[in-house]
Amino acid sequence: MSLEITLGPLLFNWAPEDITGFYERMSREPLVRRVYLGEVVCGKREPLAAATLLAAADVLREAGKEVVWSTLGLIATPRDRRLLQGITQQDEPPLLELNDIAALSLLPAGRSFVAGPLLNIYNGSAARFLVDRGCERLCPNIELSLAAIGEIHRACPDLQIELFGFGRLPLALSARCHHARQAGLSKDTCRFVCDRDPDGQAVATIEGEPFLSINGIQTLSHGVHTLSASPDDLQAAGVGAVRLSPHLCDMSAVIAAYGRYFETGNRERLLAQLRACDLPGPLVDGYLEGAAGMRLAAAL
Amino acid sequence: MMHPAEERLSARVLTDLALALRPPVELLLNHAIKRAWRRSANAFGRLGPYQGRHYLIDPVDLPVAFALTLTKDGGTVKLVRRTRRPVGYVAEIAGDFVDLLALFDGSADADATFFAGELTVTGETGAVLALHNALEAADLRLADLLAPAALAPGLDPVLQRIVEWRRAAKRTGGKPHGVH
Amino acid sequence: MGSIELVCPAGSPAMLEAAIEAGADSVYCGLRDETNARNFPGLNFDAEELARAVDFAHRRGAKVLVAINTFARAGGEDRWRASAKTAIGAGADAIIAADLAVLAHVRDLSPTMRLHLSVQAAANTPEAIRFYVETFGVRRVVVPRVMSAPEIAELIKESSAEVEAFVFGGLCVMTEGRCALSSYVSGQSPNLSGVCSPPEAVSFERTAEGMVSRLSGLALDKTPSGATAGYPTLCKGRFAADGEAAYLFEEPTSLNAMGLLARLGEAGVTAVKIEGRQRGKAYVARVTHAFRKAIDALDRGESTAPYEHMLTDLAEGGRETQGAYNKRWR
Repeated sequence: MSLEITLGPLLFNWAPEDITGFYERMSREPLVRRVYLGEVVCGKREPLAAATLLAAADVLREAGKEVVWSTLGLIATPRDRRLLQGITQQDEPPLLELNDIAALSLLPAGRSFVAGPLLNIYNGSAARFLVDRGCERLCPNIELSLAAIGEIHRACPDLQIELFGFGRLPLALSARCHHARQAGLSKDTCRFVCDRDPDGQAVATIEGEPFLSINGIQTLSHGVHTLSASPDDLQAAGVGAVRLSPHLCDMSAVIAAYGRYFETGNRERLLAQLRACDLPGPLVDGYLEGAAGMRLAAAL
Repeated sequence: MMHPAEERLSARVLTDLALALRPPVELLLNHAIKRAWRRSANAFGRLGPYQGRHYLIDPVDLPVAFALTLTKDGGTVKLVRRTRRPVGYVAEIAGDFVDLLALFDGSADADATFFAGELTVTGETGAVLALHNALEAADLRLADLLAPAALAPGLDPVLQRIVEWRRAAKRTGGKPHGVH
Repeated sequence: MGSIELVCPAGSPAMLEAAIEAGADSVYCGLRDETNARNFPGLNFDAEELARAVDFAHRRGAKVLVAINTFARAGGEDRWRASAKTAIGAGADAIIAADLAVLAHVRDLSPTMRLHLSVQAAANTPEAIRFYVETFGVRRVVVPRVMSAPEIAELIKESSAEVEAFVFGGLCVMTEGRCALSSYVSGQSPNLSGVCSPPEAVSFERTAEGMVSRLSGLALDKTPSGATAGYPTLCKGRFAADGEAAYLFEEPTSLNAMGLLARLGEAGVTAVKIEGRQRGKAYVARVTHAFRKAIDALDRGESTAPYEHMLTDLAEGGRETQGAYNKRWR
């Protein structure tokens, strides 16, 4: 059985019409089985896209896609807490992806959920703990090597594993909004300046080397993460699905490239096809092998 | 407050003393290492993989430097010339003599001293951290480093005075003259 | 002990003794491996040293809290379980943990061992705290350094756990326990290996314009000769967005919230914590002494003002902030 392709939640502050257009295109992607929707980064943004995402969910479901709702990575303010209470305590809630442990305490017992990559699940016992509370799928933390993921799989053989396999890596969250600070503002007075950088705002070292990117309260890598393992090795480690994180580039081309890779295992071609896609940064792939995340991807 | 001429004299006295008393100075320092080790035998073991590696402790205001090697069973200090480019050191810590003493004395905050630009570290940062942490844990004191009284009576008060004067000068922002 | 428990760092037995002698009510320390988040070469305690330290502390009426606050490695959980056993066997007064696995191991080994939730668990809401209290019987939570004093007060009102707040030392800019900047650059991070910006990846290069500090070759900052710098922790570096290099994420400053002790006490904080297990005896003696005086003054109904500037020169980079305790920091 081939690896599935999913679309991760949109991490960036896109204009409503761009969001609508994007998900309309994605609804026509035969290779995409599941789509994650929802605001993960900043509670202030949530109302901006709420209606747009609900409409997109309808379009996607009508096209036969499964929709999962992703929730906030850092639940910080009273507003964030109310938002999560609202989402988790609906009568007939959809499948949710949880990214903050507070959400786990809000979810009624026995409800299935997806554990997102922003949770700190680093080992088999922690994963088993979540499985016992209803977790049906884990998207491992991006720091984990394939070896570690394999160990988690051995401890929880029934747990579905969906690997973050494409996109700028979510590296850190902060109570402070770096995007606002960059513009001389603060989180409370931000004027949503994060909408200026639909792929994140590039950050370079003092020697001019691009290094990170800023997205509201989130810090992402500058490099675009891709897979450094063969489809067979991924599956041996328990991975059943690969998550592609939406960026401005031609995501249809990215999806096609991954689809082909899962069939052929030809990594050189994967890298070449991705590089032809106008990516926001160079391809990097160190994490899966336990190396620095920013290690540049080279053909095996 | 010392007169500038007095400052220079004291520094020179110190240097001459070090040079003239090389064997006793080494003995003195090795004795200090031994005492510290006896007091907290575990401490040097904290060096872990850096045990047996050589560190160059380089007081820039003296014409001599110290090669320090520690293991969980003890350690040695040797005086070495600064003119030769050293090889085989896992790390080199350079700074004013009194800053180095204060660092090993545990009376200075390592971070504050190092990062205030008063010490220069080259080589493996991990080795330096391990050394600092090991000496910290060994509870080395200035008295240990400088004054088994039997070997050098009278040296300690002179050095103590120089250290105090040097620290006071730093606090008020003055920089004394170095002498080579 | 006064109205607020003073919790101080110990990177070695000598440092632990210095802290207690300077007036600490409790000290926290780690074991000599990656099970704690200050896994620096030469730092921390072995099993024997821990047992002796607990004995020393107890004889002086002080407590020892053992940090097993990293996330257990997949396939290597035995080590974390062993650390828990060591801490329990040594008679530690509490274990500070963040990982679900470690919390579960501790509970499994001892139904009564006091559990404190590490700041690495980033529990900043009543919901998160309730989760840990109900699941593991956690008694105290170390709150993220990014919470403001009013937010802490609100949290305490809604939570059944004690709250411990940092008042001095190095600030994490990003949410603790949820930052992978270090592993992106060097392959090691607090969560993966108990260390941020690991020393083996650090290098310094003297150039004509000053000292360039690097992590895995990546330039983090350039300091003119003679100027004050800090350990090259990634988030404290200077970077350029839109061309201009600046301390993008945070100025290299230190937290000193002594001036807020009264408000924290009023908010219901049980304990205040000093950061800095790697800062040495001299540091802990001075900081503990100053905060001891301040807390005692508070308990006599006096002002803490006379003690507030005692510690300025100890701040990283020589500068201080009250951090997120003042909400404008966001």
